[in-house]
Amino acid sequence: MDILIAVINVLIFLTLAPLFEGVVRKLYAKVQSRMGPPIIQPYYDLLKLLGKETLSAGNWAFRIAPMMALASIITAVSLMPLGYTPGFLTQYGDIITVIYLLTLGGVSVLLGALSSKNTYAMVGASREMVTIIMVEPVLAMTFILGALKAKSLAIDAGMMSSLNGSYGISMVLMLVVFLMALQAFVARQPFDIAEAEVEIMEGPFIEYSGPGLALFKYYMMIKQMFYAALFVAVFVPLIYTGYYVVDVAVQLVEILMVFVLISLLGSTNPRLRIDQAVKYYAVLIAVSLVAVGLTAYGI
Amino acid sequence: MSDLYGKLILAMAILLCSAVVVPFTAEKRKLAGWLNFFFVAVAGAILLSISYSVIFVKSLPTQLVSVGPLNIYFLLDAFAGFFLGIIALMAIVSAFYSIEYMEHYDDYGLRSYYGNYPIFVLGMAAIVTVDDLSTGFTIAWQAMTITSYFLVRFEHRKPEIVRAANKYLFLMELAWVFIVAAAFIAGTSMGDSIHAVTRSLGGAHGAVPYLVYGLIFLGFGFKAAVFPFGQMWLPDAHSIAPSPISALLSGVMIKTGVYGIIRTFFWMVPHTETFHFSGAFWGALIASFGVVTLFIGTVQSMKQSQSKRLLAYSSIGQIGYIIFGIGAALFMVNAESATLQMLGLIALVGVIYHVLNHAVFKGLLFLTSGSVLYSTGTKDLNKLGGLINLMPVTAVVAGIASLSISGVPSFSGFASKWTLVSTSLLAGGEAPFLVIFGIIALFTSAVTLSCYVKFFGMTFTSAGAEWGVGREIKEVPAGMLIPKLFLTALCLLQGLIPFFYFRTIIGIFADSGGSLVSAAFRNMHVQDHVFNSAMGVSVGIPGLSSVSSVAVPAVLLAVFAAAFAFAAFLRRAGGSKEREVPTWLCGYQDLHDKTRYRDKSMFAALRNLLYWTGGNVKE
Amino acid sequence: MPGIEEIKNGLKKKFKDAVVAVEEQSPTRLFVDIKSAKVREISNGIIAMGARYLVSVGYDNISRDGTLGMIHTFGFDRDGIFLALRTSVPESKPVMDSITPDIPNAGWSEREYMDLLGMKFTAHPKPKRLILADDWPEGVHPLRKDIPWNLMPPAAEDVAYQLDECPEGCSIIPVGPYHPTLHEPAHFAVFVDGETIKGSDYRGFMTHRGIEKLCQTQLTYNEIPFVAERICGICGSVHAATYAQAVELAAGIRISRRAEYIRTIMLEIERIHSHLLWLGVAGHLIGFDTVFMQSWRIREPIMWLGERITGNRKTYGMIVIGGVRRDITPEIKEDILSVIGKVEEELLTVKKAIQGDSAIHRRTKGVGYVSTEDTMLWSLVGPVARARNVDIDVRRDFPYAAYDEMKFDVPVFDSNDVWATVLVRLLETFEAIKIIRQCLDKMPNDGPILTELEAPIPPLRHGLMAVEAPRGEAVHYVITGEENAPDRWRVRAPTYPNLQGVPLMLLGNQLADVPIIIGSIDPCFSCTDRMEIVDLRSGAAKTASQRELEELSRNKR
Repeated sequence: MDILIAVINVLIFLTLAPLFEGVVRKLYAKVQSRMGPPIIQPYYDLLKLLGKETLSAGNWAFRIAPMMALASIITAVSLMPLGYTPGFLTQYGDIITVIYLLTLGGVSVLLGALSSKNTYAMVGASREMVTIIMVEPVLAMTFILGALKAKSLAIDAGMMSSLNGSYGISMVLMLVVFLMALQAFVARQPFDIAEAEVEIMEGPFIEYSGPGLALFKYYMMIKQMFYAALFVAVFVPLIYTGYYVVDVAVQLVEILMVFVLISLLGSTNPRLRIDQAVKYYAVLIAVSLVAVGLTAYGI
Repeated sequence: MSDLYGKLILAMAILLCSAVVVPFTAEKRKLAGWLNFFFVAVAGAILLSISYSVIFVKSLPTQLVSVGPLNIYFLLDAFAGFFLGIIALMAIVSAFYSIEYMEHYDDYGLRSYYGNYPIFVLGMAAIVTVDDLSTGFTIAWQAMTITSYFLVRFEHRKPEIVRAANKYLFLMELAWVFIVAAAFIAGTSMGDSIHAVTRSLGGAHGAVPYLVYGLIFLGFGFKAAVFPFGQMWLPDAHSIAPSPISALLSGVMIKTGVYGIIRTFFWMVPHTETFHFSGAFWGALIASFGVVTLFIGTVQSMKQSQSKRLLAYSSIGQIGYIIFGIGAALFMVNAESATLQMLGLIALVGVIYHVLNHAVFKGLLFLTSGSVLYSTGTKDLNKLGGLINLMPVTAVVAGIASLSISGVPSFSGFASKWTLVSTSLLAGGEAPFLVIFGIIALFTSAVTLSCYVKFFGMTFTSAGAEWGVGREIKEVPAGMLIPKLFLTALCLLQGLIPFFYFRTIIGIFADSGGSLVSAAFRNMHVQDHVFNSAMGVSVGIPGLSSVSSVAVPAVLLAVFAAAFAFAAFLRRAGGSKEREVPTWLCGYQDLHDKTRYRDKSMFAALRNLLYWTGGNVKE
Repeated sequence: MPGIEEIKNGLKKKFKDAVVAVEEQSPTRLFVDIKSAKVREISNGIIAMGARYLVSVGYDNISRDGTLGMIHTFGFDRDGIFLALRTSVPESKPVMDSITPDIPNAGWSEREYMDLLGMKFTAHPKPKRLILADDWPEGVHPLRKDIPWNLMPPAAEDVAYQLDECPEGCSIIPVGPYHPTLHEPAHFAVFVDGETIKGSDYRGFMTHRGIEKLCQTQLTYNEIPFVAERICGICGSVHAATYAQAVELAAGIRISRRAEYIRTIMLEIERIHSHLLWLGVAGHLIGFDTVFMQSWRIREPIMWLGERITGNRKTYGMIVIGGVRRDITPEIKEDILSVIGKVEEELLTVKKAIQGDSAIHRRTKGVGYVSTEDTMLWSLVGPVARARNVDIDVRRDFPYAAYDEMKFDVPVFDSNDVWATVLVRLLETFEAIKIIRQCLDKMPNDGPILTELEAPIPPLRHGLMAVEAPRGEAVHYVITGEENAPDRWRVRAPTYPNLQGVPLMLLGNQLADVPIIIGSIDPCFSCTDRMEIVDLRSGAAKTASQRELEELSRNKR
């Protein structure tokens, strides 16, 4: 049963991530008074790219980087207790593992970027790395907050800490910080700095085409959904029935809401510069440190 | 006299003999290299056998050994054996690597190199086995320091190298003065064992214990490269020495400082009615030093544009993790709460684990950058790039070492950093400052990642060597690949089966009597709270929830492999054909030396934000 | 404040013999002939009197007197006087002093004639190729009359333009020719240290279509306005109007007042269109696509209006020498009023949103700073100058068409950055709406919209005209010719001077600001590149005949 849940969990992410991407695109279009593509367009995009020719400017590291990225996010997702139901693999990692796994995804992007030898990719990689460094603590502290409450670093315990009662001021503070960092996690305006189309033309991905690009895009979609799911699990413990299907369904609806939020925030903001963003992140880190400090004192 | 002590003296004698004999053959460079390796390997094998025996068979008590006219206390307990093992291992690997590597210094003779190398190893072996802070300690320290001084100033015709080496020598002597002074202030005479020092320290009052511990921390802190002392010498000394020596300096020698700190703060603690050891104070202090060191060292590392300087600064950062772990452990094992005590013990395991891991991957990284230096003649990251196709084996090795040191799951750095971070986070309920420290450590490991993205990216991927290096670049000969591959295998092993290392290290502490913690390790049944989970580790701390933290690299690797296979399937699923194209730069300019992104431009925003941390590279 | 007399006397007094002749064509046009040796001194003297450098015109006069002519033009903004400083050098020794060391904006003009006429300028700070393609053969100067308009030298491999040296320790980030920031091809080499810009170099003119040469040799006076419109897809009417007015001025043609009003309306509709388009592009350049989409949505009725008035959504084809081609009927008038009313309403919302958006402030305030002094030194024009506290606008300073009767404000800001250019353009759009309303209100109901020419246009008359395009002033210089076509027609689009100021704006900014800074001048590369012959790089396109192309575009649907 546990194994089944783990598999279903991964499958949900694999199948629904493009759909949510489609929702985001549609909502962007609505805000911009456009028709927008069909909601299932991202599926078409992925399929189309998988069949396209691969132009390779790099070396073998350039080739494996997209696969590493996708594999790392799938591994991270497989540990995730969607619907507050831990799968078989949840017991084999804790929050520190998840944090490091998410970083591995970022590293794969960087590896691909650096291997492409492209100057724009390097600019993008440099920005991406800075972003990883600066937003990872916020992510970490979100987890740590739960861990401190649950007195355990285990993934399910940490994520379900708010479900199990205690919310508190620190949690509210962290919620605000997480929301403020959300766009950075999912690399959308105002924090799509590493990809910045009009400056560095998708940055790290500039040399990618065909299946390599498809895998990276897929990785980005799943990552986006992961953060949305994380937000929902940690901060919005609406309901826990104990029925797997119901809980998952509820969470998926909540995730959809998060994507609506992402779209609205993204479509109503210009892109910031990396130097401005770094200062912004520094403030977020400071505030989340306060939140963690408060939790340590049980507030 | 136990025969192990005899074997120890025998190994030292072999090393001494090597130092006398090999320089005579220095004209024949290869031969000298092989001879040196032979002697070091024999001595190292003996040392390894000692190490194995004290760790896995029986830990020994202190013993007075007559070495010529002197009577010196030696101690071969499991703890000393552990360090002895690392030293022996790295010494053998480095000696093998030296055979080929020293070939490229064709304008420098090797007499001094092979004369000093064995004694340097001897000094390090001695410093972790002598059991005093006066006579034996001085001999060992000086043997280690003076020989390493000559090894560091190997390229003695370059004035800046001699200057840096002199500074190194001066600071190490200063550190020696601190430590020996501490021993005398504590009220001992020449040749007293540490046990005796501890006893006389037990009668001390007022400020004296603070002075003694302070001086000792200062002295070993210098050696271990704690901020701000490390920055004074380490980046210079480690980056200018020949790479095998850098590997030994960073991988092993600075660990003797770690050894000294642990040996004194956990063993040299009197248990008397009148004496109160303020473990919480010293723990918090050392942990603070550690956190500052790990943060500053790593950030400075990120700013470097020379591969070996980057690695050297990163050593400071990694030592920071170790020092932080020691401090946190010291703080926690001296606490009242059983939860904290247990966490402290686990943290201590993490410390020793990280010492081992760091020795291997940092040694590996220095050997890698040495190989690059050997092939290209430069360590300037701005001139390198694109070596992945030219030096594929070295590239893979460097990649694995980089992933390890960055703490990517399933690689060795992950397991030990995970231990250090998770214990300090879990301690948060009772000691909030440790949570903050843990978060800083976590943050810093992302910065570490950026260092190695840069190191690996600017050296092996990207582009640049075709313009920066004016010669043909080839993979290094097998003589330099074998040691690296060996260390790589070790590195992978250490990452995949952390449970084995946990169990071994717990055993080491439980067997090494006389410390603050050996009783605790035995009485609190640490091994019953650390569960085997597919050779990974799952920890349950009393007072916290039943599963407090988990790290199972093997399972993660399996899942990752499956997911990777899926990704590979997707990649092929569409039947996409591949075509080689040049890098595209908007259509007017091609990729050339000037359109290439430079190392100093990497992470510019973060560098500017963290300018105040120092270590900035001037143009 | 010198009047036209003071300028004349001042020049004669100061430079005596060097001033050969002074012709006062009208109270606003002064033509001064000088000896080529004193060109630099006199130019500096004119600048010292308070003039602003506009552009230089070189022309081939070999067939008449064996010289190459060079005309530097200046404008006295406060007095509404244009001054053309004419000189010439013999073909055998075509060398004169460069005025660029003191008037940096003349740099491109002089380089242009090095390329096109083979002139030489001593002490030019950067005597590099500007216009011609990298592989154009040395010594072939296409604007000389002996070079046929359709000459196509063979393409050459392995010839590269030498860009400026990148400062030590910096990397070059190439921007263009194919780059999303640039909607037309041009190449910027941006020198960065980290993300900070330490310098830049420009290599453009990749789309020269040979319009000037083509028109001088193949077309007649009244065919040219339609080609002039195609210099730029956005300010087409501006070029047609500038050309037509320059010819009218040179030939002394007077057109009806009603036609002048209709021209004014067309120019202002074009301004609304251009500013809305720019606002969208600017939004896109800072990653704010909602601004992009919304302002283009608001722009759409303007396109509709264009079609209603002229039959074309853009490239109106309205303005010819002698007047305009279509009248504005009372029904069209109603449509205009209702459309601009709606645009005004929606634009107010946009203005409020932009002014209140702190994120936009963050991306634009303090970005692209150039001091007022440098702006004047570099002779920058239009919204770029007005955002940097230089109060110039040829509609007000040198009124043409019906602008003398219009009441409007010229918004000027002193924050000297991109944010100010946003504000200038936003406010100008409202002013344009105001002007259109006044036009519709005051327009005389009688008079032909197109005045027939009574006599052929006399040869060798000079006409200098400037029109305030949305991006700044467009300057045209016409020398009339014998064969029912101009002997020389020089076009200077506003981007031409502004682009030369871009390195100044980029300096010290962040890499991420490159798009919005380049975007802030609203660059129109094809306007700037209007020049000679055919681009060799696009030689492949030549293989498709016109019929094939037509078929291709028809079948596309």
